[in-house]
Amino acid sequence: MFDFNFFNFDWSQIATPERVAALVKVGVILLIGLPLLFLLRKWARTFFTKKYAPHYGMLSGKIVFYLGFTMIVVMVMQQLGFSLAPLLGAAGIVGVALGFASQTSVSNVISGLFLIAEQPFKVDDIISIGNTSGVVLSIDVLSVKLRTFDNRMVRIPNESIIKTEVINNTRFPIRRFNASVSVAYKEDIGRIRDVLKEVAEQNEHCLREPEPIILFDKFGTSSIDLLLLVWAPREEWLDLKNSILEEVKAKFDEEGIEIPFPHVSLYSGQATSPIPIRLSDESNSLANAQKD
Amino acid sequence: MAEENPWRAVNLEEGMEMDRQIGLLFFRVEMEYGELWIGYRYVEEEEASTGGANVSAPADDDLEWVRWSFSNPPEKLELQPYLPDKPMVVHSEYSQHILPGDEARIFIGIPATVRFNLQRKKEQHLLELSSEPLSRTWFGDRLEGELCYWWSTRARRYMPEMNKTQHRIGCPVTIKNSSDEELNFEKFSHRVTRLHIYRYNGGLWTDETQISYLGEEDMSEVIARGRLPKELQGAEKVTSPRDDAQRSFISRTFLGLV
Repeated sequence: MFDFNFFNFDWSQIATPERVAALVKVGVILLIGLPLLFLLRKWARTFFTKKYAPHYGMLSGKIVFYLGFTMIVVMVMQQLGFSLAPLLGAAGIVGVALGFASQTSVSNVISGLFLIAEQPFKVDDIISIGNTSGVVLSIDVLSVKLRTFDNRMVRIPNESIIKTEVINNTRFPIRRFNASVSVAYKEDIGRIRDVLKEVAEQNEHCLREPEPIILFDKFGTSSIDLLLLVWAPREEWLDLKNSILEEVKAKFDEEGIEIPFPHVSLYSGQATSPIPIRLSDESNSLANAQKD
Repeated sequence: MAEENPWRAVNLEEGMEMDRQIGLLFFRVEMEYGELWIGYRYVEEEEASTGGANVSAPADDDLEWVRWSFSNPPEKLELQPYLPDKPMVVHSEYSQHILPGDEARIFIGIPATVRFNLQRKKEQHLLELSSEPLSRTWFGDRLEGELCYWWSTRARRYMPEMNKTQHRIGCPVTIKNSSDEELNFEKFSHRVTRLHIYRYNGGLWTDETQISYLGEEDMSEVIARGRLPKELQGAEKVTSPRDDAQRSFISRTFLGLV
């Protein structure tokens, strides 16, 4: 049976003055180092966010934290009497073993480094990956976190992002909205162009330059299809999209311009002749017969 | 009858209501239960041309309202003319040509921005509204550039009694072609945020700007020395520049959209 008397145990064998001093030093390092590290991380985040952009704030915060944490671990290990060289060697071997065991995670870490170096997007950008669109919250070691517009958080592994097409909707300062506008065949296209130009000029989000472009897209099944290409500052793109189509509809109504709905013309073999109609009294005859 | 100064201050008293129009901007000021309300809308040019005389005052619902609450209600609302807060891309109806070594002096009328201020212990800005609606444009290429206001003007070559309206600010600009090539332009970016406003003979004016064109590949040198043109000597300073940075700087001025 295990026989251990706590009070009669000779603690002086373990708690030697050197060990106690080392433990005190470790305590001091942790007590001062950790709060200082968190403070430094916060300062770096705030400073670089204010001076440059939230993306650089996030990056600098992570760099400060990982560097500081490594330094604290090294200092604590030294105080506890561990030699770093064998530890690093062992860590290398363990790392290789872990690397083989967790290839996905390693791939994500390396992909994360590529993402940080290549910068296809930054924190606060609006990106679309597959069917998911949202604001970039953070670019972490293993994944990128997005906030979708209906306020859900999506975690996308870095490796997937490296392999997939990513659309950055807010990379450039201005953005174009392509509006499809259909009008009836009877309408005068020159007049439609003037009306669309006027709508674009009066829209508060639409920029004068790059100049709005009106393109004749195609002869549709039931309509002439035009494209109205207008530009807005990237922050106002959605406002432009929401407002300009409504304004086009209102202006068309005001000007009596027809926006057609699909209709089908029926022909009876000869394109120009009207369909022959024969009036039949068959139903009445049938009804009379039933009465009799 | 002489036109009343539309920039005069408004006395604020409980229950007061006041309508005024500066340019195409119609606004109503109300003080109710210690709250200041400012409602505004832009009138059509035809309405403005009658001086608002034949126009019935718009209903409250037709105005865009902003309100402020105070622990200690202010007594006076000041209206100050300011230049717009972004550079203006000044577009001229006809393109202008300046031969190498030559220069041209033009005068542009820019709509003033109305700044609503409270004079308390220190000046407090409440609101800024342009006296005419301004559309915006992009000056630069699609990858980088800057957001500016767009303004079409006749860019007069002489300094006539052009500035009789009290809501347009006359800007004298001298464009010098310091390059070896002919300068052809329809529009240029005018950095109005660096200019002072002066009152002279009832009209509003800015100090002189000198733009030196250095060539198609280079940026232009813009000098805003803060000096009044000789025709406006003795004018009274009304407001300082929004951006009181360098008086001489290099800037993209004639580059259109690539």
